[in-house]
Amino acid sequence: MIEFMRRFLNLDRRIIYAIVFFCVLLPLIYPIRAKFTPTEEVKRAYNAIEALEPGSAIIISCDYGPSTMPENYTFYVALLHQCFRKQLRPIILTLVDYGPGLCLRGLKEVLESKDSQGKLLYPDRQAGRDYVFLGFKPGSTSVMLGIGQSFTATFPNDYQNQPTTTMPIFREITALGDCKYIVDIAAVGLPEFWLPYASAREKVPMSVNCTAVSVAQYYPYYTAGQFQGLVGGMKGSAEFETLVGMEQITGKIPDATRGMPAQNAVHIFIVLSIILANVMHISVRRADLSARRAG
Amino acid sequence: MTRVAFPMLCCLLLALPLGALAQEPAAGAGAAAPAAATPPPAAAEQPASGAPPAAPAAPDAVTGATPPGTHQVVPQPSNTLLMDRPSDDGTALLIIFNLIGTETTRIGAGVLLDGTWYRCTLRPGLLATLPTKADLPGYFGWRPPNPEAKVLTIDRYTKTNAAGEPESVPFEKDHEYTVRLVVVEGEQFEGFELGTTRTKEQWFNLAGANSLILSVLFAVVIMSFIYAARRNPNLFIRRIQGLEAVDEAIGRATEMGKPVLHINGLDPLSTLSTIAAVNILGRIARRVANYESDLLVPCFDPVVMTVSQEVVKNAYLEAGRPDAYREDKIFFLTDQQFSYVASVCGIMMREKPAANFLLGYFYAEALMLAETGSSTGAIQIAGTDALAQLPFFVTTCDYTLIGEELYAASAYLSREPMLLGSLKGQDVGKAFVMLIIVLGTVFSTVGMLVAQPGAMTGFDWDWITHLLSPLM
Amino acid sequence: MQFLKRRLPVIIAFCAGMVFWVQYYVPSQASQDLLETFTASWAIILFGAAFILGVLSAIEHHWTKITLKKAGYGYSLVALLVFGTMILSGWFPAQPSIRLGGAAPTLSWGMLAATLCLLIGIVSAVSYLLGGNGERRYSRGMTALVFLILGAVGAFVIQPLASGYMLLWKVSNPAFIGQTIKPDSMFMWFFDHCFVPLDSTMFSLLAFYIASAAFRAFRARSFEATALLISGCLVMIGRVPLGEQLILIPKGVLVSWYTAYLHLVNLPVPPDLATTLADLNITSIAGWILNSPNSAAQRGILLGVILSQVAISLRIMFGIERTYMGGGE
Repeated sequence: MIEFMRRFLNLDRRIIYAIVFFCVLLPLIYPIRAKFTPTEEVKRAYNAIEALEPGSAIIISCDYGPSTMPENYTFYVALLHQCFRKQLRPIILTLVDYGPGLCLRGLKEVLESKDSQGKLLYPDRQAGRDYVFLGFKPGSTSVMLGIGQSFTATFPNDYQNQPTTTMPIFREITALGDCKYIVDIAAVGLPEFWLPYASAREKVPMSVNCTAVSVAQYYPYYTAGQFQGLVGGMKGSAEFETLVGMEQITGKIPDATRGMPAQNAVHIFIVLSIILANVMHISVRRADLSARRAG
Repeated sequence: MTRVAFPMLCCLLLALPLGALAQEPAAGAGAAAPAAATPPPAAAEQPASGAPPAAPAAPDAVTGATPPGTHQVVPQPSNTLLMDRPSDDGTALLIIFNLIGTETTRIGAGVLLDGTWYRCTLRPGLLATLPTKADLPGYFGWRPPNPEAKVLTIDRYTKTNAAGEPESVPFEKDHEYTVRLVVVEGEQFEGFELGTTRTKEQWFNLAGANSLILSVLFAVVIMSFIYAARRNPNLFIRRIQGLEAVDEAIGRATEMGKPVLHINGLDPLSTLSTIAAVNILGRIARRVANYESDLLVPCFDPVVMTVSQEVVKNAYLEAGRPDAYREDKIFFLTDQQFSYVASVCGIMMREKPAANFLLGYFYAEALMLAETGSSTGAIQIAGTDALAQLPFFVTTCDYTLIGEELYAASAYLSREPMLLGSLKGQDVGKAFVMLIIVLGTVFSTVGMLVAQPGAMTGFDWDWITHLLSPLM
Repeated sequence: MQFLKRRLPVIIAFCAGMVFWVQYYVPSQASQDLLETFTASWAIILFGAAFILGVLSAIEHHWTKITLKKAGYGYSLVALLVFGTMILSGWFPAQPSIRLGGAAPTLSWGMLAATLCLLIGIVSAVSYLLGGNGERRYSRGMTALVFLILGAVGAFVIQPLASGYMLLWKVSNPAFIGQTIKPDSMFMWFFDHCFVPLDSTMFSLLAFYIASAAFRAFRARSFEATALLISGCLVMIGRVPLGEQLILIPKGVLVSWYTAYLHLVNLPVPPDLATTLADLNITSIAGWILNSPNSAAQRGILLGVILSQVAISLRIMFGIERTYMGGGE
């Protein structure tokens, strides 16, 4: 038995990889609906945006790439649906060079979404008036400080090369201080820069969507009230999708929600393997100790 | 002890008058009482909600009562005040007022220019969303009179340009503006003239005074410790296990005839953790040169690569082994995260370094690097201030430098007086922050427990709660 | 020379640091204008220049590997080809119409190949002209000639005859601004069908690494390791839907306990107690761990890190720390 435990503790990594592979694959092929309720952090982020008045400008900074799409892109799409439904005016930009492609993709997906009758959900949304995608600019903090002074000076053209000075949206929303909210969708450490350089400086409240790995480091800001809401990981995005009502809007299970059973399975496997490995480790250690005492 | 206590005492003493300094500044002229029901305003000031409403019935001139058959819908503001916004560039005014409204009461403002009223707010905002004086301690201090008063900031007005389009015009500094407050309730609205005031530009942001004083004091403490360390270089630093193991790791690599791998993290040189990592690289390179071992430094950023090459070259020079320096051992791979990781993992599997130093700022690839290194049997010393990656390093590496231990490493390894002095200065700063946290917690708790001012001993505990607030 | 290399950077660092430290506390118009000028213009230009530096360094690194035929130089060849393809496809906007001498040229596969040949030809020609040893120089020259001929013929003869457009554009054309990426363009095709799946795949490897690291390294060797282990497991389960289903104490029991406690201490029972309390499940425990002990620990580390960063910044500003210049102090 002890020999078996010793061999188990030195299990080939490839067996672990195979088990993880099947834990992810099988729930995606045979989906089981996972029930969950939105947590307080996500509800606060949702309610803060719901409380904005129609016509308010909201900055959405998409600081993520393809690698964190399940956690960030799903939230981005749900957020755009909420913004357009509430007739808010999203000002979308990205501070990472691989961001524009996904921003454009999400915007296109939302603007082209149709209801059950085949009619466009948001037919009259016009770029430059109801929303604007400013694209990417290098500099991170410089861009934040720049838009705190003036949008049009920092971004003379939008992503489609249209001059921002002639856009109706920038006639009244001239700088960051005129916006009512900031949402940072981040896979990198940029929320910690958005806070002092934008949110606190211009007194605009903000919420953050981040990966599950980095959510723990943003809790101090959330508990201090510097981030109004914190949507962490794929589960946070799934909760946000539930609050926005993505399933009713799109008519199918949204992506983050669909990934919950797979995440469930992998987490359970990892926890069980940790517990099992520790039980075996303690047993082997005890056996070695008694063997040393006896011999 | 004096060196520690004196700066802390200065900070505490300075905090006391700061609470009094951030007072409500003298108001501008024109704190007019709200006018009686005014005639319908000009077209420039229509509320966003709809067509111009009918003019409200005028109240009785003597009693102020509304005529029978009419209903005074629009709530009346009181204690109104128009003032220049403090600590700004002179392009904004503040309107302060008390108003008991409903959930649908909206507030706007207008400015009179050349006989025409112009809107300051395109859409009147909900009363409930406006901040109060208590929400803006930077302007009004921590204990303002009338803390529940609402504050509306106005910094521009909207006019129609030659093309017939609305145009937002910002306020100018040192300019007089006549302002009215507009209260909208449903279809009804009413304007209340507040008088005239002048915008003024300030040259110092009073709200930032406390952080300026603290940062200057902190700088003085650091500098004084640096100069003190020059006189007495034997300053004590506690043992940091990860750094004690550096020699052991390099020695192991030398015995095994395998190279030492050093990674400076994935951030550019503008990040302080990368600077700290490059600093440590210099120390490690000197030891590697002394032990005649091999050093590999794959870089994520070309600027970091250039600086690393210089640092290592100097280190070899100082160790008296300039001939052993090979520039191609410090190389740039790619600036794409996972391409870099794949490359480095490949290097680890092929070269099988005996010691891995993972120092700097890391992202998601931290675990991949550490796991691969661990699978090759190398001794791993990691150090990062990326809080999200610390757990991965702690579980997979032999030694981990957490947060500021990475910054302390260069001082620890070199024992240079200037670096040691700076470290001691940081410790004083930390001790001060710890003291403030404890005192602030105690005072806040006492202030909360004794809710009524002067309930226990006739003393205003609320003042004590806010004593240390300017420092936070 | 010593002044330029050693002293001038320190002076610049000091002046820039002091100016922007003071700027934060001065709200005047002049101060805001300075900040706007710096952030909207200089800083963005500098960061853009850093990008170019990174790109040129990457090209130089791979080119050196190819020319010296180091181990794995084939991968460098692939890297440069893909690099050139992405740049070219980003420079040409996608317009649905194809017209000879039209306002915006389009990029077909043939044109892409021709332009790549031209680029390789130009680079080879430059390295031929810059010199080198006899045999390599000869092969570089031949490579330059072949690719230049192929590229020129393809771009200026074959393509116009086959598709009706020419490789001609104005300098003021938006192609050079690089902000004309259309959703149906070749660039977006490469992005959606190559970059996105590859990047996602690399990141998803982490799941496997985490599983194997957790199995191998998470051992309860000491008190701290055990605490890390238990809290890690609780947070892992709490952050998935299963955590809500694992109820430790149901809401009804909590309500009755709390009501009994309030009766014991003679305090009134709030009428909305049943709605404010919830089941004590793994998710709520995970939430408490993240909100309380985790926040406290993160704050502690953060405070230390921030103070260190302030100290290092001061050292850089006052010239005590000169690592960024390379070499010793």
